[in-house]
Amino acid sequence: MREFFFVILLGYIILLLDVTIFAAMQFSYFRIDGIMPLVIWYGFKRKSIDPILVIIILALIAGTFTYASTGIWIVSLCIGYLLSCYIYNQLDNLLWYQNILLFWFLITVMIVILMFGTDSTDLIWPYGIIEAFILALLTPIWFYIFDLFSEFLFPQKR
Amino acid sequence: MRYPFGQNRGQWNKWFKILLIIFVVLLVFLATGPLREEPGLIPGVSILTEVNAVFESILYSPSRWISSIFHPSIYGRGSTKVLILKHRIVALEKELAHYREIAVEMSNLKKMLGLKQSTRLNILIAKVIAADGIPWINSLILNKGSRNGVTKMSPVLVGRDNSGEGGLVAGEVVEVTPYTSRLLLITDYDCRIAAIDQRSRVIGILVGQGHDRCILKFVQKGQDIKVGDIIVTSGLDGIFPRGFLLGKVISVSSGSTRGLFQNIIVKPLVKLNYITWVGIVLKTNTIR
Repeated sequence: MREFFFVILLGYIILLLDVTIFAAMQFSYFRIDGIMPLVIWYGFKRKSIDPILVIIILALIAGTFTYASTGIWIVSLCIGYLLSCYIYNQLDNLLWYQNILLFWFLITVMIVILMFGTDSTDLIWPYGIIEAFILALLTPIWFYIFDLFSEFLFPQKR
Repeated sequence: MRYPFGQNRGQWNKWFKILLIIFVVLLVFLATGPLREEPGLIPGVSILTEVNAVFESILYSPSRWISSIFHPSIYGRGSTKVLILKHRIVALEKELAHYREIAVEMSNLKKMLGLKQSTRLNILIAKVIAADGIPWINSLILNKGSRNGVTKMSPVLVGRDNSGEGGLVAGEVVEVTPYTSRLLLITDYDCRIAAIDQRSRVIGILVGQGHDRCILKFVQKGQDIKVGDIIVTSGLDGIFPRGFLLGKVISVSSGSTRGLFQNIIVKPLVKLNYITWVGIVLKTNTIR
């Protein structure tokens, strides 16, 4: 229950930062985004189907922050989450650069779905791919922040 | 990496899952249902948007300030005294940037007041409080909503052009809640406006092409359009008043040999992504 609220609250804060602080730092189409790394991180931690409800709620909230239809957020984030769960169930002990490549792939999938949903497919190359790569490079930093928060709120029992 | 929640903590009980499913179904209905089109009828969606707006308005001003003072090289080599002085300079620059921001806001407001006085339209001044959640969608959140008389498809203008006639078109209102509204900029892919060349009177449809670009569609080959021509609203769409400035033609090409129409690229006269104040043209006679 606490974990559910933690992810929703974290997602909400990131969305707020996204449309204000990160939007102010936007260069052309390139903008820092934390929602996709959060979805990947959650899939990596949980590796199960149940928390997809949390992702759906997060996608519904994300829909209120944008002109794009809410449904496309649900499809994009849920696919990102399920792919993340599946891949991290199959693979373990990846090297740092392999993780980056995996993040790149997962974020690309989510961005491409959003672009299809917003009728902006001509932006997939090169913008979408480069944006995904930049976000993939920043994802370990987001993972560190998310881990820090979760360790603080839910300390491990010894 | 360690598992942060423990093996058993994530096990939700049965009732919680059922309640969660009901909650999700309810949210999906509220967020995607046909009633969403009518402002004020769905408390679920509009309340969430209003809550977002409160936080967005708090965060948006500091974000503009941060972007204007972004200096990467604060720390350099040298003695402590030099370092302290450098910090002092940075602090003063921050303060200066803050005052400059206020001066720009004052200047924008004066321009908006000028526009308000020079037109016969009912114009409501609104502040931009947030951008869109997706970087390639050109929409902005404004701090005025249906309680202020804003309705869907209201035209939105930004200040006065240098030639002194008419305002610059920023876009149109596409979503309204009681206290906020969403402005779709003319550069967005979904925005279409009936337009006309001010010099040759050739008509077309202005379609957004993303960041800082639009194209004028459905202009047949051979029709008189030149680089540098000013494109204005034609008023034929019934949304935008006639004669408001849209942009300047920066490129004209004949397109493919089999095509019927020319490729005309239009650049808006203002950098729409950086606007902070806008004027919403109200359809009603009352400004609340």
